Amino acid sequence: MKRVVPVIAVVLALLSTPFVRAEGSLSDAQLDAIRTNCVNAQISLQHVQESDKLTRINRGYRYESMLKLMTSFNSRVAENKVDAPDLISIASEYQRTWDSFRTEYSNYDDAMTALTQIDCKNEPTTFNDQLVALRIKRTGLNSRVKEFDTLLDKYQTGVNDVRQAQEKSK
Amino acid sequence: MSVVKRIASFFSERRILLGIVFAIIIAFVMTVISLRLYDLDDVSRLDVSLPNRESIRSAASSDEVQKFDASGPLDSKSLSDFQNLYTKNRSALDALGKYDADALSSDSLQIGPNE
Repeated sequence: MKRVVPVIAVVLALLSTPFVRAEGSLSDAQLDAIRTNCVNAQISLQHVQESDKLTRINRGYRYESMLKLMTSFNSRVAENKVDAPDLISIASEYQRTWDSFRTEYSNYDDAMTALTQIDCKNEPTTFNDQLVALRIKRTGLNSRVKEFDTLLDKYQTGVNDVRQAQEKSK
Repeated sequence: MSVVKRIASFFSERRILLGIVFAIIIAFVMTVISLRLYDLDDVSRLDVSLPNRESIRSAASSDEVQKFDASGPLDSKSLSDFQNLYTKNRSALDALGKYDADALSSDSLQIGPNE
């Protein structure tokens, strides 16, 4: 009997853990706040989605233009037999970042659409969980934008090096 | 043998009709494939020509970026031309949104504190 009691206690503790976590993640007040305001939040999310789409279209256009510029410049550098291996590797990394950005934006946009379609009054916890996941995806997109900025800075440095090398060779 | 002849005669007498039906089937299949490809790629998601996207269409930047020729000399003029195009694009990128976290904060969505 003495051995059985601790075992039962452990089993009960394990069984109750998920419920304790579920209650701990969102308070009743937070759930009520979501239930009360989530329909308006979904409308706001739709506006954010439209705004994000516009940003995606404009960024996509500019990123592709930059990629074309880099490709053309790299070709010209190679044609003129100037040694600039960094420019080629940066352009390759830029292409990979662009591919990742496109995929991640698609996933983000799908998640946003799903969030705006949830019956949030009856499923506030699901709404909150998906909102948290959406925030993580958005943070990922923000990181990609910073990654692009870093690559563009590096490329600019490489171009400056080429310019200096050309001036010295004169 | 007579059955084969009858089938051949059946199709032979209705060649035009069968041709039309066949053409419709091919067109239908090609349309389904095209729409599937349109949906799979980013095209449908970002298609600004759709009727409900006038606002995006008008707001999307439309200025054409000049091209930089892939072949030619690498002199001070060409470097300057490249730099102008690069700086122009870079400035345009800097002016765009960066998917900042604020837009999805609980405060901006008015659904209580974050987490």
